[in-house]
Amino acid sequence: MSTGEVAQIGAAEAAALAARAVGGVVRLQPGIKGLLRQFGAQAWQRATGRDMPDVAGVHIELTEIEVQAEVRIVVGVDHLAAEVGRKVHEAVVSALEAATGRTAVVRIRIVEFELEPRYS
Amino acid sequence: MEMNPEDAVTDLHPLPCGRTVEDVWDEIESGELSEHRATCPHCRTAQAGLEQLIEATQFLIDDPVDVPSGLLDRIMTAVRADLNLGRTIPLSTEPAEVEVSVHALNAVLRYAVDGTTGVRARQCRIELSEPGAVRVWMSVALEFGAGQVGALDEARQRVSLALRGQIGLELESLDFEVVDVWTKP
Repeated sequence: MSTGEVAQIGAAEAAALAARAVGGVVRLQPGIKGLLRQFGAQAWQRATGRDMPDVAGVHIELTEIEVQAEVRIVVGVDHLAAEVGRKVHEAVVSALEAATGRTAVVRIRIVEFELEPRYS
Repeated sequence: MEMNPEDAVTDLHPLPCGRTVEDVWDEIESGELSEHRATCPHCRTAQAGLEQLIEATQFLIDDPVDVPSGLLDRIMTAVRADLNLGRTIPLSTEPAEVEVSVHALNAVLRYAVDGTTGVRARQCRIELSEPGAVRVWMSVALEFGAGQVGALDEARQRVSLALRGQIGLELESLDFEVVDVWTKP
């Protein structure tokens, strides 16, 4: 695994942890590509025995000067979605800037609402 | 057509065209190509995702390690998440960039309407009218004799409250179209 990939996974982990910590976020939701990456990570984990953080639902692009992120979340319908999205955005920007030292450009996408939410 | 709300299936993963991801999966497995799937963009998008996954899951099947529990559900949920992102509406959260899937929003509004006695939501269309406000069109089925006008007023209020209190959007207008009437058996 290259240094760039390690940095990317580290940034994605920071973003995922920050997003999950916000009240009203039921889970992060990967699409097909994210799920395939997750399967790849699990295979890598089995092959090497080393832990790979769960970053499904977070897509990171690192450039020289900034870090771009897209975070896909599922929100419990018992919370105000706009407020949850705003808090996730703030948390992810802070986490990414602290983890990478670069300016963070973040987009939050609410892909689903949990109509009868159960928080873990 | 009589509609029985007790028959509602909730465990499937519906597509905007009215079919489900499971229907597409079944057709791919059987080798059939229906006329609908050949032309429907939603089914074809689902098919493309499922075909990518057939290859990936074959790798997992060949792997001696046990297949993770809930694998099919995770795949279906991921396919649906991609489909859900077809169209999004921005929320008024500047400077934070937050957008919501129109498909997910549809589900919330249909759920709000279904909470009204005697009214069942069918199809729903949502458009952004101005930043922070939406126009909604919804077709509904009514129970015969359930006080239709009053029930629709209540449903309208529920939609408005759901948008304001659960999403963070204002309702500019809501047009209902009654497409079906059912009677209690």
